[in-house]
Amino acid sequence: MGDYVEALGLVFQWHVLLVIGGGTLLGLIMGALPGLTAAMAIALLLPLTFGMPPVMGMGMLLGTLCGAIAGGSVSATLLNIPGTPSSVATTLDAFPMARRGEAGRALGICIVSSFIGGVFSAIVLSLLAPPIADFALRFGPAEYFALSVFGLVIIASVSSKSLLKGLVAGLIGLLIATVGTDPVAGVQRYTFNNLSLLTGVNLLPALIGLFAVSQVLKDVVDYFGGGPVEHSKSKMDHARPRWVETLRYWRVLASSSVIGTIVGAIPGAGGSIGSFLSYDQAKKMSKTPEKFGTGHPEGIVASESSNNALVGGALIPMLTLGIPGEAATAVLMGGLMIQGISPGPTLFTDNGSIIYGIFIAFFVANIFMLLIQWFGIQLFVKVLQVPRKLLMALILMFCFIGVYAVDADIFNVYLMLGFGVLGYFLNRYDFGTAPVILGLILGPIAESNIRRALLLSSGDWSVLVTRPISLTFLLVSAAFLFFTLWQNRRQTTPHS
Amino acid sequence: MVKTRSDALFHLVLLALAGWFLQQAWHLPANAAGGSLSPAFFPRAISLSIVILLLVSMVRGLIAGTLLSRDTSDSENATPVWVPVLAWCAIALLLVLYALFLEPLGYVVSTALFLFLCVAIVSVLSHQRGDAIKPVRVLMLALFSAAVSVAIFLIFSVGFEIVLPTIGVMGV
Repeated sequence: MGDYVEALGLVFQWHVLLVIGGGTLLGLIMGALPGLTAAMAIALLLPLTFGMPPVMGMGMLLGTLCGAIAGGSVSATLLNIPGTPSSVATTLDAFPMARRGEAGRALGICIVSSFIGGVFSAIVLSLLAPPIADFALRFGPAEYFALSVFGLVIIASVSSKSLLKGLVAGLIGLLIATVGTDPVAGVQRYTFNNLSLLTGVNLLPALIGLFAVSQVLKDVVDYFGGGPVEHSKSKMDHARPRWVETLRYWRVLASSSVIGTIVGAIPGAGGSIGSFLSYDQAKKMSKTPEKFGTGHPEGIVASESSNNALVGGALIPMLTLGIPGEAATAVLMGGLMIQGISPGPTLFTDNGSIIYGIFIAFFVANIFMLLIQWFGIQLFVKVLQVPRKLLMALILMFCFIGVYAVDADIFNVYLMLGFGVLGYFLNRYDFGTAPVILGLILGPIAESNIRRALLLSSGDWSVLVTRPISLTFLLVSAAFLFFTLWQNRRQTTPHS
Repeated sequence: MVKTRSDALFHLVLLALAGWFLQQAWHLPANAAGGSLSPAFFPRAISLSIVILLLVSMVRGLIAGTLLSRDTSDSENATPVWVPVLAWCAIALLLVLYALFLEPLGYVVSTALFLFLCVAIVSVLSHQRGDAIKPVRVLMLALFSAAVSVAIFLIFSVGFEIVLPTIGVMGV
């Protein structure tokens, strides 16, 4: 309780609130723009958090994440292009509604649904995270190694179209993580007498390169290949939150928020799965399922409440176990680590006020998301009119300033460009970039813990399978691997 | 899933890189104290795993007949295939040049030039034949690039107190 009171003091300061609001606003703007992902938005804003206290910095990034997810509904409604993958299901009903001249009504329903889904998941997060972290305190080196394997297997399985390629991407991340001074013996590996590499590959250039630069390089190619964008022609009606209309579908709101939170908490399940599951469930529960897909408010409520509930759900494994389930939370975790805070169970015991401050900041970010969308929806609609070529140039400029500003080392800029090109090709050939980042983050954890575990057991590898928690993680990882292999095979069989 | 000859090429590039990392890992100390793992264990094990998985992926692609198939680009697209490739290469080169000249030219000048050239490259390559390039638009772009780079410089260096490269003329 004392931690919560202290955390309230950390969040409710005018400059902290201002920063959370600013992050939410920027997230909403970036989320509204098709092609700019939530992960990219967080990676771009990451450098701004350096001088900030942890709760302030994380509050800003959480605001960005909430905003980016909610902002995805703007282009989903007006352009029939989901701003983020999680708003794919929103297009099914929001765009037909906008074409009928009710874009404002669709966005109004999106605003309320997103808010309720987000707040629900924030409550679940603050209730469930502490007991999970408490359980995870029993973990020793063997368990941490097994947990790292589990995290990597899951993200490699879901982030890429092929398990094999996902695993290669994860291993590339692990290999890059070995660059620098070895964590146990202090031997230099792959440093080539470069001082900038002594402490390893800096996470920020990797994050910005893999998620922002690579995305812009892809946008450059897409710019010439994209067809004309379909706009809803009719003039937009007033977009204010539609409380009564949304709350009329309280059953859908409740079920979708629950589904979103659960799917979010399962590492690797991903945003679009959650919103489609909720959409499908809402359709089955509905008295008028035939109206789904024709501009029916129930469909919008299901998708939007679910995709914002995913955010709080995804924070549970990230904060308690240090396992981010998808790209945006992987970048968020990178942000925490850059702040010098390692996510995991000890975060709850060592930095109680910070973790509870993060919970409260997440609540506050959801409130800002509601208010900013309420009063600023017209601004996001205008953002869609910014020429893409201008946007690409400006994003690249921000990538440079973000990476250079950290320690005025031009080497980091080159590193970012290298990661940008690598990320572009990894995405182009379906390897994915999220496993690389997770490999980079989990690499040092996995290596130092397995070496420590073997040191304690005098080189006996059975320590990994004789401890029940470690064995469970390894068995679940193996099961997940086989399941994904089987699924991959099933998907490819009809084509061949 | 569309795979192309360049997919095979990318596999080969990754294979070469992993092979190089593996070869370098052989120079690392391989002895470890107390039954633990040596500093060379992880780099060797990981690069070897990458090599094996890439080979398996290539063999699977070859068996399925997808690895060396031709690129299935959209034939209905009016833009010639070489235009996006050229644009990509030009922007990538511009990024390298921006990094090279960031410190010698200072933040304001290099950023203004970068913004101007970046938008100009995409505009010129997407320019429809027959449409005239209006000098007013070029001037507007130049002014926009200069104004943005100065504004960002002031926000970051004065507002956030972040050290950005300057050439020492009038503080920029």
